[in-house]
Order: sequence, then C-alpha cells, then structure tokens
Amino acid sequence: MTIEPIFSLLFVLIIIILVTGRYHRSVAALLGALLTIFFGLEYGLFSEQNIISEIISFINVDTVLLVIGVMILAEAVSRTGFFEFIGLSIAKTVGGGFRRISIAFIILTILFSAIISNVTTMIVVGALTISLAKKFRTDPTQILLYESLMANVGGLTLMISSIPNLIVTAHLGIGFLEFFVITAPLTLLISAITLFVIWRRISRMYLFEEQVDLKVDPWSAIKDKRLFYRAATIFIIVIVLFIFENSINLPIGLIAMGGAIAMLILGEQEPESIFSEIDWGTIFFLTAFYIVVGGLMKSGVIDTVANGIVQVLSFNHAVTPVLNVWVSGVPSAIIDNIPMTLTLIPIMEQVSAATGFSFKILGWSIVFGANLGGGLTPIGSASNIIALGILKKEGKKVSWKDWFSIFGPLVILQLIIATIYITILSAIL
Amino acid sequence: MTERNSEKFEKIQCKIEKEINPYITVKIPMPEGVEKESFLRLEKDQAFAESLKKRAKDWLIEKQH
Repeated sequence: MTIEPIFSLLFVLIIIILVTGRYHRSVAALLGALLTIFFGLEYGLFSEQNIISEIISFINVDTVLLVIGVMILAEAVSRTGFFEFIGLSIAKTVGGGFRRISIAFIILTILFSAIISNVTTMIVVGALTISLAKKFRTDPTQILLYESLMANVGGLTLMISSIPNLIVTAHLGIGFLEFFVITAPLTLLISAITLFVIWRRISRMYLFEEQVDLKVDPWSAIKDKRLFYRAATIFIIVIVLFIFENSINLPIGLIAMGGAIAMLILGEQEPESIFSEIDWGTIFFLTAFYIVVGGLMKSGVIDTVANGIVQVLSFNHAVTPVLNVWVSGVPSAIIDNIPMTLTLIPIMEQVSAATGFSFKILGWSIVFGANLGGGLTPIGSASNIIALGILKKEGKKVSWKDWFSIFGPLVILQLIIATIYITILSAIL
Repeated sequence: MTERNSEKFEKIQCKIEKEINPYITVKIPMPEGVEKESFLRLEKDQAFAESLKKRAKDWLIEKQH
C-alpha cells in the first residue's frame, strides 16, 4: 500500500471519531498525530534523527501562543465581572419590556463574541437572559437560541474572535486591522439583516409584554474595582498592540502572551486557578491536528486533493471562493470548524499556486464559511451547545427539527450574503 | 455542556440572579418535636417560602421601628 491512501484513511478515521463524538476531540486529534508519526516513520516520510524538529515544524507556534494568550487574557478579564457589569448596565439603560432588552442582549452577544470565546459569551449572556426572563415572567427559549446564533456571527468580527480566524490570519500573514476592515462590513450586514428578521419574529412573540422597573446596580458585579480597571487597561493595551503589530514588528502570539503574563503579574489572581479555566482540550486539539495536516501535506494527499479541485473547476476558477464558503460552512455544522480550516488552508494554498487565484480571497471564504456554518445544527458550534445546556437546566428541550426550522433559513441566508460578499471582494481585491 | 462549563454558568448565574431577582439562602435547623420527613419537605414547599418571605418583610419593618 502506498503512503497516500494510508494518510487519507487516517484522516477519514479521525473525522469519523470527531463526528461520532465517541472520544473527546483532543483525544481524537492526539491519536491522529500519533498515527501520523508512526506511519510517517514506517514509510520513511520522517527521518528518525530529526523527527521532533520535523513534527514541531508542522505546528504554527505563533497561532498556538496567540490562542493561549487570548484565553488567559479573556479569563482574567471575565473574572473581574466586567462582562456581567456591561450586561447589567445595558439591561438597566435599555429597561422597559423584555423584547427591547432581548434585542439589546442579542447585539451584546455579537460584541462579546468578538472579543471572548463563544463559550464564555453564552455563559454570561445566557445567565443574564435567564434571570431577566424570570423577572419578566416570560419564556427565554427563543432569545437564548438567537443569542447562540449571533455568537457565531460575532466570531467573524476580529482576528481574535475565533480559532479559524487565527489559523487563517497566521497562515496568510493578515494583520489585525486588515482583518477587521474586511470582515466588519460583512458582520454588520449579516447582523443587521438577521436582527431585522429576529425583531419581526420577537415582535409577534411578545405582543403584550410586562413592563418592569429594573432596579439593578451594575457595579455589584465588580468585586474589586482596582483589579477591574487594571485588567481592562491591560486588555485595551493588548488590542492597541495588535492593531499596531506591523509597526512594532513583534509576532502577534508574543504580544498576546506578553499581555497574559502582565495580567498574571498585575491581576492579583492565583495563576493556578486561571490556568485551570483555560480550555487546554482545544489547545491540544489544535496542536495535534497541525501534525495530522502536516502528515497529509508531506504524504502528498493535500497536493492530490488540490490538483483534483483545480481540474474539476478548470471551467472557471473564479467559483472557487464561492464554493469554499459552502464547503467550509456546511460541514462545520457537523464537524468542528478547526480541522476544517486547518485542512482547507494548505489545499487552497496549492489551488492558488496552480491557478494564480488570490490565496487571500480563498482564505477569507474559509473564514466566512467556518464561522457561519456552525449555526446550522445544535452541535455546530460551542455557543449552540451551551445555549441548549442552559435550556436543559431550565427544563426545556429543543429538537434538531425545531432548531432547523428556526435557524435553517437564517443561516442559509447568512451564507448567501457571505457568498455575495466574497464575490464582490474577488472583484475588488 | 461540559461539567466545567455548567459549574461556571451556575456561578455566574447565581451572582446575576442575586442582583436581578434578589434572594437569600438561610439554614434553618430542625426544631424539636417535628417529624424529619415533613421538615425536609419544607425546602421545596412554595407556600412555606411565601410565608417566610412575608415574615422577612415584617421582621425588617419591625427592626426599623
């Protein structure tokens, strides 16, 4: 048996394990990495003398550092009560009925998910929504579900908003500001159209809503004001450094780690307890999957797939980014968007080299699809899983059928908007 | 939702809930001369919670004067 079918089968096996969810995704990726090394050595793909350096060369250390740094920063800031403070302030300012507050919270979800993980976003916004629904004596189910959908849209906004964004930007050398300039108009457009649809649906749901005078003190969420200001300052400095990364000539991963270390020193919080809240599973998963993809590249599987794509689309290579939005979007509804992005990036690099089509455009199409596609199914993104978990605690169940009837048309609409946007980008850039 | 995220949610919700729908948790030892089962059932008795709510209000008014 030649090496290509072995690595192709290995990849399919890992994807099957991920889809079935039989083992934690990090375990599946670590198994894949181990088998990649084993077969790589067996078939002479790697040299025994340099195996460690060869394996490490597959991993994008800057991306891994960036993910760890951003996770530490976000965890330290969220511990100060900053996000609860913002949520309570908004509820107090908007006031009035549940409908108005719900729309404000859906917008807040987009903003939060732009700077912190979808998981933390949904935990904070979900807790606020549940408590307010109790106050207004109303059902929070639909609102919570809309929030989870919009968390995926918020994931498009910044380079640090989601892991697929970090992978693509690191590979393509896209800066923080460049990312924002390209994705912000799309995020705004998709948010505005989706919010309009949600507003119409919510208006029908809460025709006669109770008006409650909310007497809340947002500052009650802040345990230590000095710590709060300190954490917020470090976070803002890191964002400013991200914006000026080109001028300061430092890898973005090092900036994030520098901010994280500053937070650990000045944040007056027990580092061990912050480390215990970091999503190490995702970090192991990301690192191990880099090795799996490295094996696919070295064995020639990526080249074969890329050549196949180039031949199939030889009639018009301009359709590649359009297809890419859907190829990365629809499977993201079932498979994690991290392996999807990691695998598609080297394939698209080959396609770009063979056709001369802009690699950046192909990269953008992966970012759009990978972020938005997660909204299609209840297991498509972390925010969906958290929203359903919160509703389960409240004794409410949402079936796949219910999910698709609420979100199917909306997510498809979002993917169509992204498709039109990438077509315009292809013409402009 | 993983166990860790579930715990994180409960912690944050407890904090927010206390601000939006304030409540207190009071430990009441079992008085002498009552049946244990009936006493433990009070924990989920809405009517009992309502009577305690009223008692808390009366208590606070009494303390103010």
